[in-house]
Amino acid sequence: MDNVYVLGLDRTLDAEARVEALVTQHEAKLARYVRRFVSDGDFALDIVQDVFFAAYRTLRADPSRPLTAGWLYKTATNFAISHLRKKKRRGETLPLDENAGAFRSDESSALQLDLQRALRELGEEQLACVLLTTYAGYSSGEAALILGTSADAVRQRVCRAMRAMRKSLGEATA
Amino acid sequence: MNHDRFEALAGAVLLGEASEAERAAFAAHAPACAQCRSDAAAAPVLIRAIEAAREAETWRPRVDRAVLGRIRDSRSSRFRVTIGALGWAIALSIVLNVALASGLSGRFAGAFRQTGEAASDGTAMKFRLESPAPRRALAARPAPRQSDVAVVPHRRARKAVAARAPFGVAPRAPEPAGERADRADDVPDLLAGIDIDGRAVDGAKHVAVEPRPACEGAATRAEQALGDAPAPCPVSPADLPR
Repeated sequence: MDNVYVLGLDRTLDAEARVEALVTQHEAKLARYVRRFVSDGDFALDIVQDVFFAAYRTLRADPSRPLTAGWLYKTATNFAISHLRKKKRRGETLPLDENAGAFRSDESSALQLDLQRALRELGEEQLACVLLTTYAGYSSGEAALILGTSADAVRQRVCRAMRAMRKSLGEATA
Repeated sequence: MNHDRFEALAGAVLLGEASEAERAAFAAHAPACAQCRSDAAAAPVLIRAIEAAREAETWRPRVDRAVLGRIRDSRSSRFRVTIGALGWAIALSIVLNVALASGLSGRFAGAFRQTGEAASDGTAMKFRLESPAPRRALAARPAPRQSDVAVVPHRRARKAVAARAPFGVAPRAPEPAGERADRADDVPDLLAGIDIDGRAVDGAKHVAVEPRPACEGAATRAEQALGDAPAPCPVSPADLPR
């Protein structure tokens, strides 16, 4: 697993080269995480671009700053939450079946689609905790650092999220 | 211990992060709590389903070209802005230099400049202050303003005149209104109210001092220039008492 604290990037490189290395290492994993978060592949790509561009601006402003993978996920989570809130304000929440063509391609089973639907019904904080710990592979302590909370809070949210998902999936299968 | 603490313990057990002590504490609590029992039984299935979805992921997103293109666009736009600002600064500098070199500075500075002349013909010192009019109004004006002229007689000339005219100089008769209007912008006469003997003259605003004594046959400068001038005035500066 990536070091959540400091990415092993050569600080002698300029900001563009460092971001290029960041993109190479993290683009796929980060994009999948964001796609799970927003349930939309196109928006996920836009958000990931914004995240890497923000990383570039940060490195350009302060080249000595240690950039962490946690910073990438934290920024991506904030952008994704902001995106979801905007959609909610505009009432643009489309059914998963209409905008989840990308999910259908590799998750053909009904269980996977139901799982994504159950994830979508979680609150933002619970969703972030579940995806960081079970999907991105961070421990509860690392997720707590990313989200700016305590490890116990992350564990508690995971437990409650699982309960909510079980309820949602039970309704879906009933 | 409230139930929030057991939820945190359940989460640690589900994520596989619980220590032995935490597992023991949760195991002691779970038989008495139906909710925690169901969480512990069902949640691992969900976690495995999420991990399986991650493993089954075939989506291969590529954002490197887009990100690097955006970064290069940003750099080139910054470069363009910098070059543009530099170009404007150079153009402005050239314009200012050309304008200053072509005399624009003189136009501005002339509005605040006063020229003065001092001349003496031996009997009087003449001071002349001239405030040049703005250039754009120059064509409309026939001549620069020359109203600020002060004529101050020399002390020696005044004494000489006093010696020749012991009766003093009478105050000038009041001028007609039209003529006074023409002199409205005269500078204040420093000798106003004082005659040449030092006595105050009531009501005198202007003291007409004739610094050059009247002399029949005195040549004008033009006549002297023509060469057929008569003898110069017998009261020359050299004859004045020291």
